[in-house]
Amino acid sequence: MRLRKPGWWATLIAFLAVLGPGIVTGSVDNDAGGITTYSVAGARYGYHLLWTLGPAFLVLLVVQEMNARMGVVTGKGLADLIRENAGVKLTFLIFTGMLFVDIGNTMTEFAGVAGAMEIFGVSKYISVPLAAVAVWFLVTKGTYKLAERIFLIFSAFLLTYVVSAVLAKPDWGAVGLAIVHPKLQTDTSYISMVIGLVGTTVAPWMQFYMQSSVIEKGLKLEDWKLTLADVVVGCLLTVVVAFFIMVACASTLHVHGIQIEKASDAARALAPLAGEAASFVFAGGLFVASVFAATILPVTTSFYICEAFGFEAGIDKTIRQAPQFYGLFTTILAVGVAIVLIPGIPLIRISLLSQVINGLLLPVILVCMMLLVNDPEIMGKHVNGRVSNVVGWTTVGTLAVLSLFLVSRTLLGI
Amino acid sequence: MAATMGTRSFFLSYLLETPLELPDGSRVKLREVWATTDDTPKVACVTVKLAQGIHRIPWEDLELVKIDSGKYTLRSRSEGAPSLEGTEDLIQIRKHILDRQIVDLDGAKVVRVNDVRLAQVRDGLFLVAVDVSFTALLRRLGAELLARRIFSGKLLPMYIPWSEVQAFVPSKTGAMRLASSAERLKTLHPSELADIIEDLDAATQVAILDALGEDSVAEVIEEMEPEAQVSILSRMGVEKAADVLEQMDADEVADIIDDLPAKQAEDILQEMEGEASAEVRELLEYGGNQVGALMSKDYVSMPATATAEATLTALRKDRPAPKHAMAVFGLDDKSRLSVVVPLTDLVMAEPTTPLAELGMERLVCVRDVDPISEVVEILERYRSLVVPVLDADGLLVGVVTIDDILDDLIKAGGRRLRG
Repeated sequence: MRLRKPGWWATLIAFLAVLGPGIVTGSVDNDAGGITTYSVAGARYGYHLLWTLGPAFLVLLVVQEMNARMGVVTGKGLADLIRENAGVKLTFLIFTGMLFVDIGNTMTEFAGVAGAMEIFGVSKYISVPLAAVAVWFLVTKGTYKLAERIFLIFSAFLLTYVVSAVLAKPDWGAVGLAIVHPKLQTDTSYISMVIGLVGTTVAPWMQFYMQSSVIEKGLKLEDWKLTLADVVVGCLLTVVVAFFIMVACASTLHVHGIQIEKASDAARALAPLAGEAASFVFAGGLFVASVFAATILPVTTSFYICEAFGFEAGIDKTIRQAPQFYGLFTTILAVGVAIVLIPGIPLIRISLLSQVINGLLLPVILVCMMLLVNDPEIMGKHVNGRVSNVVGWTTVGTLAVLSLFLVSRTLLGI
Repeated sequence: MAATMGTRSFFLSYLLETPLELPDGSRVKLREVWATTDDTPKVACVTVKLAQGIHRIPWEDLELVKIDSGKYTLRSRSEGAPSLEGTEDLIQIRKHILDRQIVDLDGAKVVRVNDVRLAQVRDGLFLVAVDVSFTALLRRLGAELLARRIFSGKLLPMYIPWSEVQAFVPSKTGAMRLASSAERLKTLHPSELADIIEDLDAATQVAILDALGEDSVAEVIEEMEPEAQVSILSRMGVEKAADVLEQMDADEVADIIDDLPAKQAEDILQEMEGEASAEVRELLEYGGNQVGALMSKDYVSMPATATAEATLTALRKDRPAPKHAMAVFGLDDKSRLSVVVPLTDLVMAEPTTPLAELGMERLVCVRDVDPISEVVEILERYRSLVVPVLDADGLLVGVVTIDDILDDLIKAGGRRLRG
């Protein structure tokens, strides 16, 4: 059979249509927040934290496999399942939390846009409003689906971190040694870095995003092996990109004892050490990842909130048909941008606060997920097996303890 | 109990919070309220959890009484029975209605049930409406009074009468059973139904499509967004999808097939009847901006020598869809197109006039490989509703109707029209 609309455009769209939900979610996962955490970890601890990517991968895999399975078996979104099974009060709590966390995340993304464009010499007072307006029109004018696909192409840019890392000429022997024989430390800043690394890979909104994508694709149980393969590849993608960001920062910044706080610091610091090319590549990747996440995060969060509370939602609806949806979307975007642009606002403190809420929210959502995926009325015979449950609950338990630890530390720190 | 309660109505959320007092004086909470599947569901019983397990108490054994504090309590005359026998045909209002998505038939949209309105009359307690308002959410969060004070009475319930509701209740076998017959959904226009189905979860989508029957399903799928078409057909499985697509016009099918992954598209074409899939394959051979990709293969043709009378008789017998009968095409003895007769001309003609004498003076047609812009120009310039499409040999291979390009026209130039 021949494609009806030949040409590179059609071929590209056809190729992207095959890309599974796992790979998409994996790409969005490495947003400005993720890049920042990996950069900081690399700069501060060199190769010594590379081992955390192993457990992070495992956690991500376990959680996303359950999401995909729930999506395929029930055909319902996670927001839908939570509302129908957890009651109004818990639902309200979860989604109010989601809203706050997401405003924080959106802020982080725009901070990423600002930082990346400053490397190219563009002021944040120009780049951030422009990016925000572009995102708003992209979504409200209904070209979001196309935008999502274009972003996906751009997310191949994330692989430029591999280039950055190679340009930085790492000591591959030391990298290997650090993975095989990790030097564990017990001081609190080391531990909170570990928590931050694992936490940034398993963000609450991702679980919702993943499950909806599975349903949108119309995946069935017969496709389960393919779906699973897609989830594995998606998780690998996240971890591989994280690996190279850490290596790039470790082999340059750490070696020269440079400490950073933001991802854009890393890009800037790379220039004298690994050449201007590496710096530009890093900044370009950061920019694409930030805009990508700044588009997807506010849309999806507004969508899940509306889904849970029964408001009309969806980018194919007009503003008059779905006022709550567009209202939420615009608010999240506007507040996120405003925080970045207001001079003298304590950005780091706000993002810490949002991480605290995130840390409290994640275990709640994961416990909900574990209960849902074990409910035979919802999952039929596809409830968790013993192995998935042991791995699942251990993961959830560990994450919960780690998150609560981080939260209490941050609260004490503030 | 009817006598003591009189006529009153209240929310399910109140009922679920009202303590139930057993004959021994102990108090429990309602776990579930069960109702019949009638057009107006009648509450049959409630279930409570006792130390011995789940007990079922018939509604007739209960009495709603006001206690000193001004609050209500449910007083039960019995402890009920530990069996759930007889509940197979009942719906669980809390589990199957509350917090679920339903279709508001009057507004033709999907909404979520935030509360349920029950009415007590002489014959018993009935489910009369669902409340889909934000106020209902606040009520259940225990913040209604507070919110009322803030918004000063602007927050009102938003009721949808049960007769205007289509709910979906899962059955024991795992399949979905529609709480009231799917006939209600059929009262909606296919395009409304398409929007609704797109908004529902996958399991409910399948249930609705199962209940609708192949030809209705085909109509509904035609109205859906391309992404929704792909995901629904994928979920249907090859066999069912092929059956549904057979009911649709070849040009619509070609559009849908084009969006599917290559392997799935091929499987479905294999599964479809030979003639239907051959037509689709023919259409798929054309480039995206060629007339052939857009044209429909459903049209009415007659020998040009046939009389108006004979043609009308043939139409009555074949009963083509309105959009396929906007004009009749008269063919000469070599099967080449010789005349196009609009339906109105045909109807108004003397019965004995042959088609050849009815047509327009000049034949306006396009080639199958012409660009689509050509056909758009013709439809616009000649104000015609239908343009015949010829192949290289001058044989009629299809038609393009105004319907086929309407969507594209609106998308291209109509943004400002829609506002």
